[in-house]
Amino acid sequence: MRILVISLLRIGDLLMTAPAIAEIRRRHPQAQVDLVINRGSRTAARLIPDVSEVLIFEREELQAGLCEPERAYFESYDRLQAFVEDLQTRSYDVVYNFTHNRLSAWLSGLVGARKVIGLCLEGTGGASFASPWFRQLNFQVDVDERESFHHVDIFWRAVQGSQVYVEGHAPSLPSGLQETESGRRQAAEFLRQQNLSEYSEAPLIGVQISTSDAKKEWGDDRFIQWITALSGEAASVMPVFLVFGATFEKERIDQFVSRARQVGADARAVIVDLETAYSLMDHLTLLVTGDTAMKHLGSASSAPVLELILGSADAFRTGAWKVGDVVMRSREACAPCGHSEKCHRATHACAESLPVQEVVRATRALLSYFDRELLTPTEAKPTVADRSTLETRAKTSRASQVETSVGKTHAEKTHGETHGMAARVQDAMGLDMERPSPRYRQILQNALHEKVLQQQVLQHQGSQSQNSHAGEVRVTSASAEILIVERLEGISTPIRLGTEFSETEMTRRVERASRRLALELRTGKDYQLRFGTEIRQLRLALDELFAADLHACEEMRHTLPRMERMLQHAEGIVQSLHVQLQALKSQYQDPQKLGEMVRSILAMRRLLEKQAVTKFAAQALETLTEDDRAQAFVRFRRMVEAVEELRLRVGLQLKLIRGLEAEFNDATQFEEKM
Amino acid sequence: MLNFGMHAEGSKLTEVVARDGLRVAKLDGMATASTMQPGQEAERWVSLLPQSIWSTDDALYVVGIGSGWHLEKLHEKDSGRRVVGLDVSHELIQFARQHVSRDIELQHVPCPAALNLAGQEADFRSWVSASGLDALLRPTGRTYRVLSHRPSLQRDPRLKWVEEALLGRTPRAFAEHLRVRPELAAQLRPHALAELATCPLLSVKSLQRAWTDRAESAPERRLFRMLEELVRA
Repeated sequence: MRILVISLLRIGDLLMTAPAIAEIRRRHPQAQVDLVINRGSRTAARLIPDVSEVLIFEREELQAGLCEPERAYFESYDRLQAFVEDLQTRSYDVVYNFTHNRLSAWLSGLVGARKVIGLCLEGTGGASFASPWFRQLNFQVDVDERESFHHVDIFWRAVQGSQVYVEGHAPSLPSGLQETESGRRQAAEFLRQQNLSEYSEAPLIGVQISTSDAKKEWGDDRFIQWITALSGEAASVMPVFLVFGATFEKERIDQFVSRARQVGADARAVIVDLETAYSLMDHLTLLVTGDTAMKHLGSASSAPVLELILGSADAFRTGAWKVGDVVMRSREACAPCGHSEKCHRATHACAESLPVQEVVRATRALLSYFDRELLTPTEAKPTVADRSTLETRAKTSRASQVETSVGKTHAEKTHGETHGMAARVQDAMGLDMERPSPRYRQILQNALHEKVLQQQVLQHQGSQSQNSHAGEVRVTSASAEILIVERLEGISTPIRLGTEFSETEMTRRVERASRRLALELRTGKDYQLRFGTEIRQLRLALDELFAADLHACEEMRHTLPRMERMLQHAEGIVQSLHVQLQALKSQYQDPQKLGEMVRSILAMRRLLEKQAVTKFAAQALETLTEDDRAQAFVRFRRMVEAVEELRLRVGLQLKLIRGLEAEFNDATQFEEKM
Repeated sequence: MLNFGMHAEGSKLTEVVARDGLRVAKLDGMATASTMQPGQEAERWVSLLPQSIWSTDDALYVVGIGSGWHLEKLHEKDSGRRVVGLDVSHELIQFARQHVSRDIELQHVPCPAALNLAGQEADFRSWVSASGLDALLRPTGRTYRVLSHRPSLQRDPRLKWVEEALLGRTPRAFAEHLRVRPELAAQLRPHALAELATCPLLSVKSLQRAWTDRAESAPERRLFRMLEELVRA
């Protein structure tokens, strides 16, 4: 079998397809799996072991040929034609297009494969997706982030198909990456040259200060202030800062490191390729980065990631995705901005509203957790004897793992075959496959509620919300939002720390679950929806979101029945639309009847818009308009598809709500019996 | 009546030895290269070429042979590349042949003196056919880069036609390229092609309205859609 994978965006996007490529290889171990990428991504492609051949799409060369008047008009055309003809001669059976833009869609159609999964534009320009997950990718371009799924999961699910729970748990996501021999050797050499032992007490903090887009950068000055604070006297152990950069960034990185050293920090420049960077990840206590390829490497490794989301970076679709990864972002109304848009503000507002002190606090919280849980089970610092015991234990453990750990994927590594600091961090974090440990989460939550923060927030201009509980003033961060990644439903979801229970948040989560289930049902012909497991996972996800035992929440008891009532009302509306459409089957060619149907749909949409719980249904009907000039058959088909989708979604949401009610009622009865 | 194959009346080629020992041709008293350091001049010409030409193995068509030293330096830099020197002067070709590498192809392009250089469609087309340039325009599965020897073009403006034909960016040159791509020509509306004649230089987007309705699903059209996306990006 011959399979072609197309990934024609940036390095980070390619890295997000790695789990999907791993899944392709798992399903087709003997297949030829070729990968089409831009030239700039070829170093990243070396980290993906499941590829047979890498084919370079000479994007820059083609663009130059088109734009430079001293180049022949047909140069790019002939070059592109030769490339496509080469692909055609390879006779691919399947094309996976993970790029989702028009360029790749046209290419997918031209390759001539039997099947294309992903966006494909046929000769006449008609689009096909072949997988409901890719249709979802198309849908979520213009929707609220909380209605979106992470790209890494969409790609993986598009290949994997329906979710299969293992012993009641959602499957873990493989990283799909494998460190190379060259990367491992160069990483070891770097650590040796820097006198950095993987068994050292000092935390190694990886820092990525630069991004591909200036509006995504936090700023060198803020990073210096952050480093200064962490290296100050209050620090229990002086961390070592490894400042990563590519060769063309050397000057900037060297200047930054010099500045950091002037404030007394132990900073080292790490000018390495991606292979070496990935091998170094396993030695990091923490990686602090913007939206960069390094972030994706971090999420695909054992290193905990603290991502600073600025500019057009998107936490829900393309953010850090490993369980326990932390995302910080500002609450500026204009964020996230458009990818290609220039910042329209007078200053870099989103970076300014991600204050240094808040990032310092979050970093300290993470480091103190690792320090406390990892190296010091008690409050005391380790003695020399303790440290050597730790080292001996680690070395012994490592010796037995070295032969097997090299070349393993992250998934295999998370089952206890990792080595270095990151392995011990992970053990200490006590991560299961789906969510951060409660203690880890509590440490971060506490970082938001310190009195120092409280005082600063009160002085801060702008809004803050205050809740009084038992006389204690508890405030949330005014400027920054902190999210932590969980995968309770098998989808990487950043949840906001300090989310208080509300019907709106509840609605969002249930909607999200129903959207995912609808996709699962449409994907897997043999998929058996195990509602018991789904309800249980949703319950855990809600507990995680609200960080509370929902049984104790009085408001919760009233919310579910209220949501059920509204969804039943929506179900009635959707069912009546379904009946009307059935009656219209033989008459849709009549413009008057068709117009009446559209007006009926619009009227129902206005009803559905009134309640937050049913708003999703109104949005699903938004594509049906009175001024649609498509042919009658096309318009009728759109109506039928929209209403059928809604019937499925509303039905699923009702089942989920009723399942949650039963779950809570059973538990309540159990408690009462006790 | 078009007059092909003859150089302009009165052209006379003489030869001088430059200070660096290299031979330089003079055509009608005008030096075709530096009479002081032609070798250095040729090296500088090569150094100023776009860096992008070294990252591919495309054939290099050099418009203007001059004394041939720039061709030799080009060949020295990348001896595996196909290098084709083009000129309207038989004499210069014969002169250069004496000292440039045998691997370098030297091709004569006849340029009739009687042609109206202000640009008449029919003249240009006839000349391309007769000159053998359409053989170079014909797609062979390999792309080429056009490099112009500016001193030669300044000395003999007729070489501008050669450059124009190879680049294919003017309407008349584009039409010549279409002639050797019949499968593509069949997808374009003749009426639209006539409209293109008003564009000084063609781009990929120039063709957007030129396609026939039945070309929508043609592979050629889809390739151009990809190119349009690249321009948009």
